[in-house]
Formats: sequence, C-alpha cells, structure tokens
Amino acid sequence: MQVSPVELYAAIEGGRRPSILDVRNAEDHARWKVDGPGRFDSLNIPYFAFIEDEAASISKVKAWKAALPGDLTVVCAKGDSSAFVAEILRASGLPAANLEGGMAAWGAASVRKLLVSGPATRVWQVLRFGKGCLSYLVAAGNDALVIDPHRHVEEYRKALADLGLNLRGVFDTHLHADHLSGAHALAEAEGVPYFAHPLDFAGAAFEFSAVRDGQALALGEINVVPVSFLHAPGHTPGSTLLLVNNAFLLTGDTLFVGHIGRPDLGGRAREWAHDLFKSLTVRLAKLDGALRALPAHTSGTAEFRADGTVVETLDVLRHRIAFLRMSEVDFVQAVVDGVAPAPAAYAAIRLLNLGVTEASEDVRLEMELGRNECALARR
Amino acid sequence: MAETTLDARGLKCPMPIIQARKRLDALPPGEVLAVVATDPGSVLDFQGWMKTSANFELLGQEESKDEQGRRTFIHRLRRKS
Repeated sequence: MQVSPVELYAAIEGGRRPSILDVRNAEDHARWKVDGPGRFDSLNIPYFAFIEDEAASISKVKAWKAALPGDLTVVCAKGDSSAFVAEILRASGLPAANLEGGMAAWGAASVRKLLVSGPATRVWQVLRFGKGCLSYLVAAGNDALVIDPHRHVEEYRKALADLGLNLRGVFDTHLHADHLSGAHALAEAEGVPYFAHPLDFAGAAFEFSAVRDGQALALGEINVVPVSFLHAPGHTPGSTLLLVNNAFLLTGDTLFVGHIGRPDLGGRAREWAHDLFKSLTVRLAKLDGALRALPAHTSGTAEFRADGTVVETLDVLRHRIAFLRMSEVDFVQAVVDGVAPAPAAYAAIRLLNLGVTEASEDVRLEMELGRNECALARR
Repeated sequence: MAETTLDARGLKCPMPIIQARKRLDALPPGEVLAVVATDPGSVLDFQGWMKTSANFELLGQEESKDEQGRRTFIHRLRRKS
C-alpha cells in the first residue's frame, strides 16, 4: 500500500487529517518533516525501535492511533524503512500505507494551482510543498513564461503541453542557493531564451539573455506578455523583480508574504542589508499597492490562503511586514541581529546553478534535502 | 578482543540494522561486531538505536574509504556486559 507525496499533501490540505508515523531518527525528524496547511497528527518512532523491540513499538503505535480518525501513512528518508515498518504494522492488523520515496520524494514533488484567470493573463503557482519553493507559469493567449522553475523540468514541460501553451522564455529571479534551478535546462530543452541578471550570473558556464533594469520585453507574437525587470539587489546582488502585465510582481527571494529575504547568505550581511533596504523601501514604494506579489518561497503554513495558494497584494504586505516600515538604521541592525549560518550545501548549489560544476543524481538529491532557509529569521 | 565484521556496504536502510541485530543476537558476550556501511544515514541511526537498546552498546564509529574509494562508516557494537 503506497501513498504518493501529492496524495498525502492533498489529504492534509483537504482536511482529511491523516496520521503520520515518521520512522526516521529523532535528529532528522526534528530538522525537517511532513507539513502542510491543514490538520494532521504525527508521531516519531524510529524504524530501529521496531528492530529492537517490535511488540512494544507496535503497541505504542496502536495506542496513539486508536483515538485518531485519519488514514495512517509511514514516512522515512527514502521510503525503504517505512515500507518495512508499514508491513510490520499491517501484519499486526493495523492498516498502514507507505509514503512512496520518503522525504526525498516529498521534497521533490509539487502541485500546480491556478491563481488567477483574467481576460489578459493566467497565472499558475507551482508549489514544491516539501521545500517551500514556489515557481510560476504565466500565460496570455497561447504564450507562456516560466519563472524560477525547480530542477524537475519535465513537470513544466508536461504542464505546457497539457495546457496547449507555447513557452517564450524562462527566468531566474536570482541565483538560487537553496535549491537546484531548472531554468537553464528548461529553456534549452524548449529552445527559448533564458533570462537572468548578469550581477548574479556573470560566472555562468552557459549563455543567457541578460536582463536590464527598467527594460520591458514583449514575448510572443499573437498575445503579448509584457515583462519589466526591476533590479532589486539585497538578497543577492542581481536579484530582480518581474512586473508582469502590470498586475503581478514576481518578488523572487526579495519579499515573501510574511517575511523578507535574507541578505546574509552571500556572507556580506551589513553591506547587502543596505541594498535590500533601498530595494524594499525606495524601489517597492513606487509600485502600485494593488499589485499582487508572487514570492519564490513560503516559510510556513500561516502564509497560505484558504485555497492553498501563497499570494498577497503589496498593500497587505506593507501593513504586515514590520521590516518594510523601519528606518534604515533599525533595518540594518535587525538584519545583522538575525544573521544565521547558511546551510552547508548552499555554496555547492550556487556553483551547480551556474553550470560550473557537475554532480551525480545522488549528490543532487542529498544537497536539496530540507526546507529552504531563505527568509530572514526573526529573533 | 575478538572482532567480526559485517559487510553492509551498498545496503540501504533498514538492512544494515536488521542484519546487525541478527548477528549480535548470535555473538558471544564480549565479542565486537564491526558493521561496515556506505549509507551516511547509518551514523545517526546506529547512534539512535544504541541509545535505546536494552542489550547492546555502541563502542565507536569511524569514517573511512574502502578499496573502491567509497565512503564507509564503521560502527562497532557489542553485547552489554
């Protein structure tokens, strides 16, 4: 009995209150676990406890499960130990499904939601729920753009084919450090331009179309998706906001719906904090408050709307996020106080995203484990 | 001190711990079992298991490379005296 990551996420989101038994060790479980915008119950009993004392472990699960309504799913790192435990539980009379592929698959899976279907523009949000990564498919007529795609590019290619869309360009809002980008691979596979900012991608081993501040692009022939690039350094020097059809603002990792991006991942917290302050206040202050901000990450289930999407108008964010109302002195101090160590894999991920290094699938999978840590910590 | 080796290279969890448990059950008291694994996840898993084990204890863990250049993790275990 197998449950896919998308099915488990749908059970959480759909209010079916699943019971989740995580059989990884306590350290791995504390670091990163199944989560979503909805109610669920969870228990951590490592798989080795079932090897040490099977009967006692089964009793623990049964005592916990007795009062719970939902279906039971067993979770581990890659799906093998959880299959072993699920089988033990089924043999003892307790229906238990295995999360197929474990947390590795949980971190790779994504769901696509239609955010808005207006007369001019349609926007789909692709939520990679395990990592909290958001990417976008924007379409007008039959023309489409993809922004910040993750590395499993076949999902975007399938979506484009299913929706009957012609891809006109792929964008990275900045050089990602928390996950491997699929932007260059997707652009190459579809034979379309890959747009990126030279301040982040100057060292890239591949060709890209350089975006310029204030430059507008019209992509497609029948229907046009105008995009303006607004350079907003801070999270990274090349971070760029994308204004699409004067209705949507792709905010990358500069601005999230409950936080702001970390300017310290490049190791220059104070210097980049000043840049980020100017980007968030001077640059954003000029933009219409009715624009809908579409971030590249979510940092918690509190950020979700009732329909499971992550989007807010700039007006709402100006009220919600204290950083946007601070003086420059207070802002920089708050950023410096919030500096946290960057996850160990981030430097290596940057190099892979520039195409200057190679890595096996096993290594890629390992370095992408865990949620993104791109939002500024609030101390 | 007598030591036997369990080659668990290339095995994915839960197999290294399942096999280690079987071997430990058959081992005379005092004899050390060295489990050689290639799964990096085995480090925390063997620690976690031994912390809660009624009959066995962890003597030490070390990282090494085998003759094929693979990263290996050696976990030394024995029955508690």
